[in-house]
Amino acid sequence: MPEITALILAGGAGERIKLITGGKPKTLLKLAGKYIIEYVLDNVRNAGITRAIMVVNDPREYEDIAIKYGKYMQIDLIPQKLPEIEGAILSVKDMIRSDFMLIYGDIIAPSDMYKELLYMYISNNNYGIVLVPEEELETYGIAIISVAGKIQSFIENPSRGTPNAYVIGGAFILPREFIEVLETYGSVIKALDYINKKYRLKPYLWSGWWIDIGYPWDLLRASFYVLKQINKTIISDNAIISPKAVIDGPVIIEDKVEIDHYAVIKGPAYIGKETYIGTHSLVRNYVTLEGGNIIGAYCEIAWSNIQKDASIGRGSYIGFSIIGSEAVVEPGVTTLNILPKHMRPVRAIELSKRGKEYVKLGAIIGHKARVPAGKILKPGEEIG
Amino acid sequence: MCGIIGIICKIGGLKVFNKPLGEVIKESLINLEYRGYDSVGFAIIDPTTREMVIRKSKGKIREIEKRLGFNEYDGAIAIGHTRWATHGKPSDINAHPHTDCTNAIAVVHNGIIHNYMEIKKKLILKGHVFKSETDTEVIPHLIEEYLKQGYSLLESLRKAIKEMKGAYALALISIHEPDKIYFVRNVSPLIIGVGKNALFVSSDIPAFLKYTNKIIVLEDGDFGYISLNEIYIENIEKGIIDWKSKVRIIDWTPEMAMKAGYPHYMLKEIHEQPLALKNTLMSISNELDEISKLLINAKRIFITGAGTSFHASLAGEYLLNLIAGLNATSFISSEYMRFRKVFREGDVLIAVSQSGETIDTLMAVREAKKKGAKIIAISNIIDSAIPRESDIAIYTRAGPEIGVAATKTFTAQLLVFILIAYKLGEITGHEDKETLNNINEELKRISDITQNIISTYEPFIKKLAEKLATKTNAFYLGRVLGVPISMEGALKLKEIAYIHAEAYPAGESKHGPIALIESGFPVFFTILDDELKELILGNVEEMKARGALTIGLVPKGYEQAKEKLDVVMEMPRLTPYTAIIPYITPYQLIAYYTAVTRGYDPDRPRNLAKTVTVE
Repeated sequence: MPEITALILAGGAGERIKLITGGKPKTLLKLAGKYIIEYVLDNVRNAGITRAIMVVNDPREYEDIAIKYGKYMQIDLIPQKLPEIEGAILSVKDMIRSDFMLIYGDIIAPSDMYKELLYMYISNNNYGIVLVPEEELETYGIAIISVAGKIQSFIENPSRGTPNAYVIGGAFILPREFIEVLETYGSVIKALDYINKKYRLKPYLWSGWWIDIGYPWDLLRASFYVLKQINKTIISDNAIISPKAVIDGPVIIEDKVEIDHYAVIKGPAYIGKETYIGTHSLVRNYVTLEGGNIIGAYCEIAWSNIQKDASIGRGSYIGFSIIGSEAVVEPGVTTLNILPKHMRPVRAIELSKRGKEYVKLGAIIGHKARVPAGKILKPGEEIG
Repeated sequence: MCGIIGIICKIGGLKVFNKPLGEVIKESLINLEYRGYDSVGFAIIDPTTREMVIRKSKGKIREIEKRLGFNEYDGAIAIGHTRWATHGKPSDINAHPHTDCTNAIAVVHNGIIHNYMEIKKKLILKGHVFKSETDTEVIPHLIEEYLKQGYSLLESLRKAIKEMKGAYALALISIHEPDKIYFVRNVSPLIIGVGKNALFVSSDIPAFLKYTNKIIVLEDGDFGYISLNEIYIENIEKGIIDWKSKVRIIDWTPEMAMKAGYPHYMLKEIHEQPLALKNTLMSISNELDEISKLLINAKRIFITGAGTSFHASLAGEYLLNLIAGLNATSFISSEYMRFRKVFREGDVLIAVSQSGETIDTLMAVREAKKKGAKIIAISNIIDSAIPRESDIAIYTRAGPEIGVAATKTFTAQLLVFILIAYKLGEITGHEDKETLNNINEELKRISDITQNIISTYEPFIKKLAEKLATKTNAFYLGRVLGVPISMEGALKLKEIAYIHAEAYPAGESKHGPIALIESGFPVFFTILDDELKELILGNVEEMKARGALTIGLVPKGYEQAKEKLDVVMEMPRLTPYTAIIPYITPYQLIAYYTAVTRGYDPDRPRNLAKTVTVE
């Protein structure tokens, strides 16, 4: 079987999410115990691909991951030499010798999306591209679809409401020629246009969940889908859980977690390694504590992503928020969440509970940031 | 589109597959049915007499399998075909395989040979006798001709390819070389399956995936043969191909291929609507004159259908009322008994059925016919039972619809009714010239408009579905033409998202249903651009006052409605008559995405079958 290589773009600056990453690549953010890039590699593996080239900022940061996945596929880590997507692809231009699958490393979706794209290629020799229905066209590249369902053209940074537009979903199967064309035109969109005219790229319209990790808020939407897949409680033998604590599953509790008396965990939730949850604290659904977290007594956490080694002081309420690694939230901090109904920032979470509709938005607390005791954070507030 | 399959195996089907080869062919063809299903056929070389046996007929595989007797034929080599007629009738004679004059060569073919008339004329002059009207039949005769001139079969095939222009894939067997299946791929897809004791060649992988997952995907210009000891592939431009490097192993489910480009048939078919509308519009012409003549002279007009086709029937009734000023009675076809003593000579019954085989509708047709009524059929399947038993048939050109929930055939049926009503409106002069002109103009753009609505609202609806997925009930309300659209919207939500939904004319709320409304209860409003739109705003208010989540399809720029509704989807400003086509598409997408969000498979609704052929 001729091998198809996956070219995974995992480098780049990630400007919009810098507050949380502290300048490290966003593909190394954690979500329910896995790095973002691990979700991508799992998908590549599930699609049956056994060779991957990862373009990264600093290969050393990815060595452990490459070793872990080395069991399933051959992985080459290549440093990104030039900026932007174009630069990332051209960094490996000499390594791509035949048809390849191009994958954006910051997109999380079920593996079927990749699998079915590959199927179209294998069964019908079609070069293809995943397209997704998304509203915020302006932040993406898009494809315009004709009445007959074919791709007419590609557009960069379109205006919202452009007719017949679908967002480029970050997975492609392309001929080697794409790289030469990219070198000539210097733009992915122009190169796609050229390849489409020559080979007729087949669109694969993906209707399942699809999340591009661009803003910190995207982690919350992603944790919703990832946690929804947990269907039973798994507790490590090495976890210490008070017999008085209530675990209302499904919850994953990792090694050396300590949950003190009267704490309540309502699933789906993820409690990472060596996390401590103090007495009388309440961890509500869609919370991911990525490990090494200290949650003081009498805290409440709702639908939030807490990166590694962040701590939350006693008596705090954190809801619909993201906390960067090693951040310190001092005691008595409250995030305000409820937005008036008419305010619907795109990234807010819309909920309906007991017949009522809510629009919720919390705070972003950056990598290594410190929130002083007693502070009240308004919806959408950012602490660097 | 058509589907082709060729199988060659060691000794015989019974030894290799534990069943006769004919049976294996049948199963393969069932997996290719998504490519077409109006006629079926196969050719098998009889292992004892070494003669070519051809069995073919029009009809769906499951209906004619007994007659064709797939399981009575075993052998070591066979080809099969399932057809979807786009031009010309599906008939026994036109069904594949086709043979040469001596019945020594049999061919199945998918695609078109553009210059077949030229070749046919030439061959007739040389004494070849043609039986069918198909382009396919020139292939066996052309090969026969080259064989006569002394060329080998492979050489003959190579010469034939150079002569035939078009897009095609074909499989060919001959009693002269009963150990080989010859093939050609030119644009239309063709794949070889390499098994241990059997080899396959087919339009798509699902046809043989049960037996092997080792495949070779052929490329344009490839031709050659498969046999148990040898695979030979040559490219018309590149020469002999090293096929060993092209063998791939796959681990996919048979279904993935058939949905090419979409996760589900239903989504695929929703997206095929613009094309289905375009094709339907282009294909209809003369039959409209005949139909309008029949309807204008009818004493009474009845319209019938079941499920989605009934909703199209109801819309048809309203359209005849509004555009042509004609009275018509629509009814659910299983209720035909109540008209048993009502039908009489001079009546016309319009029977709507996607498959043309719906038993209740067929029964209604027979009953009306018996009483002397004339029958007009609207169907998606050429020459199916209902069109056959009708006086005139008019066809939607939506292509095969596999998803159980009807989508593209519904919009195509609406289009047919609009065309009929428009034609009658011209005769009766009921609607003013300007409105008729508007309808005409709008129909020209209907395909683009529909496409636009689908792509504009798909992302919005994907998000909205997350909210709707938690609901247990919904109402769909409209007035006049908005009613059948609401009914169809509710049916879609019920049948695939399993959310209880009810539709009724908006004015009925206060006569009962409003008692059910509580906080967050979703109510959809189908607001067309007609004189009733202000009245419907009153209905929005009464629902809102009770805490309903109000969602509306609203004519563009209708600010009053936008202020009142919780969720607004702006629709193009069209006459209400043509607007019903784009208006249904958001409802289809809502049902689809809600089902997907709730984790259901929209293509496999529980307890439902695509075509209901039992009462």
